[in-house]
Amino acid sequence: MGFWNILTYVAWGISAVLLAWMVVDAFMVSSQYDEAYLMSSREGAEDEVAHGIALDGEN
Amino acid sequence: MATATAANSNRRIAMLKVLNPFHIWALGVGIVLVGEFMGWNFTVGKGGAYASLIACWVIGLLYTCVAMIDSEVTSTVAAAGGQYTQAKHIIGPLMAFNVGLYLVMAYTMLCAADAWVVGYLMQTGAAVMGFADLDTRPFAILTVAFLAWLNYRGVFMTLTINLVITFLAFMALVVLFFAVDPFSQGVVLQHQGLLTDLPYGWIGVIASLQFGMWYYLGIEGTCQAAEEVRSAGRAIPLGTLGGMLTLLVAATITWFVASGLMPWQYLGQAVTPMYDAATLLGSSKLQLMLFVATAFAAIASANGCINDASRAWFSLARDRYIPVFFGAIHPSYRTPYRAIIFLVPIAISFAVTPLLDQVITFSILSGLLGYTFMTFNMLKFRKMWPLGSIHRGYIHPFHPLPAITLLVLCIATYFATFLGYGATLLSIMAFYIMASIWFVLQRYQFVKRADQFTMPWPRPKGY
Amino acid sequence: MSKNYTPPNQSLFGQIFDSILILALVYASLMLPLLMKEDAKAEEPTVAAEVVVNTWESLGQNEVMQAQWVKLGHNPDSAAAIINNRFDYTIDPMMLLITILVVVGYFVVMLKVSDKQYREVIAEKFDN
Repeated sequence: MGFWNILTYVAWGISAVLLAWMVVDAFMVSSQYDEAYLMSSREGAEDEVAHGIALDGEN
Repeated sequence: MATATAANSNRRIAMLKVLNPFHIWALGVGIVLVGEFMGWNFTVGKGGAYASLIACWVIGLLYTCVAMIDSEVTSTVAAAGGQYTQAKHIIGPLMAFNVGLYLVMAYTMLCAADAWVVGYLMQTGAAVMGFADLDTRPFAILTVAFLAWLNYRGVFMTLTINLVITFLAFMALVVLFFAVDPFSQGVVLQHQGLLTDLPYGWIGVIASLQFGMWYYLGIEGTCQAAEEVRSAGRAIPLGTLGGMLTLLVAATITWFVASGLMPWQYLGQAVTPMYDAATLLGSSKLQLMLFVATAFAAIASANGCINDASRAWFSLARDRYIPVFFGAIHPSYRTPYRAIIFLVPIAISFAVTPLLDQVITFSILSGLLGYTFMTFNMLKFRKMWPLGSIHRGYIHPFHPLPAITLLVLCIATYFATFLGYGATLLSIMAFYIMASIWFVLQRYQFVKRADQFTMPWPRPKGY
Repeated sequence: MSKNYTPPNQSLFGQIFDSILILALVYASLMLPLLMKEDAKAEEPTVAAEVVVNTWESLGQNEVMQAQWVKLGHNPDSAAAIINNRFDYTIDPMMLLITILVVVGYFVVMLKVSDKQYREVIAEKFDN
């Protein structure tokens, strides 16, 4: 097992972890949040967003 | 307009507005700059070194028109879909669907090509260090996976990283320019000895226009960031036109250095011409710098492509042009996360197939179809909402000259594509025609008619 | 004015089917020219390898060019393979005509259909 072979396995490994993380996170989001809320962004809502009206609970 | 669903009357999600003009510059230039490290030189193979320079400037003119037109329309229609949203408001749904597909295809394919380049560079680097036949796939896949993850986690970090690596890659070109002692001929640069007449005559010049797009392809992606930039009306024209200037300089430098170092026949088929240029200078430091810069440029490009393709896919879904499932925004990272995930396997599958040639042509042609659309888009935009009828953040000069110039140059570039890749051209047209038929007959029934028109504009003239 | 158009809700299965359909179309259109190319290659008669002595002069390379070729690690024979590989720009008028018709037809039909759909959008948006 030379350096390059190990590097290849590391690359496979990190790719798999990152991809799995994204998929798991996406599922968690779907189970925790209401679908209608996730889809609620609107195009051209410029002013409202800029003034904070349309942002969620934070403000 | 402020009608919300009953259940969430006061809770709406939106993407974060955190970007500034520098990010826009990084998004635009980042996607393109890899083209100066590799790919542009196929213009030299198609028509000789002078043809490449002509293509560099003629296509530069095409893109200057694109940037001007785009800046005006985007400074008015500021939404994540970019040209897709423009098409929807100005031309109509079928055109918008096609433009959305052009964007997704152009960027996804380009991302795949970039990831392939990273794998190829790793293999080359390993070979130099004495390890032959390194498997390129894990590195291509890692590139896509890492950048998708970055994009998933938030746009600010994504484009800040792009800003850093794009700037470094650009500086590498500038350093290379000064390293060849540019102002004295015959010392390092050998233009007198190397430049020849046009080897194929003027038809070669036309043929080279196709790959001439490589010098700039993707700069128009800046407007995909419209919903995430602070004051889009100002930042997008600034970032786009600044990016265009950067690219004109970079493209000219690139041509000047490479054509003064390599015979055109070699240059026309080289995979990494700028790295070869550094090799010819005999400095291992320069070689290393160009190697790293090429990798940075490829990564920046793939990164920007994931950003743009996912915004376009997300916008299509938000209007139900494609399954609405993809129109979701992540509640903490505020990114179109489902669109990002969906595009990952596609980009990976193209990055590890031997179809690279087709993939690149698909990308270029999708871009070209998009520029053709911009010409009618601009003409109709000024006619339906004349100056003064709506607020425009930026008004481009000399209308309709840029639009007409753009159309003429597009036609020339179609002809160039026909000369080089006639069969691919037809099969890609077949794809867009089939997709259009599907959209009209099957898909459009799911689209809410009036909801697509979101701009607070008056009724267009003539409708 | 007539009532606004209310679209049906798409089932999950329909959404998945539509996503896969688009993907299948993309792959098909990428593979198509590849298959066509393979056919063309199969038809091409294989030229018997001629024994030609390549020199820099016969390849039309001047001294400056020669020096750069050598620095790039090439000899006249390996360079000849690159130099003699020229593009063929002969135009098949029939293919050109077909291509023009396809591209122009595509845009004309698209603009027509888009315009019709657009009028519907505008009517619904501004009349109701």
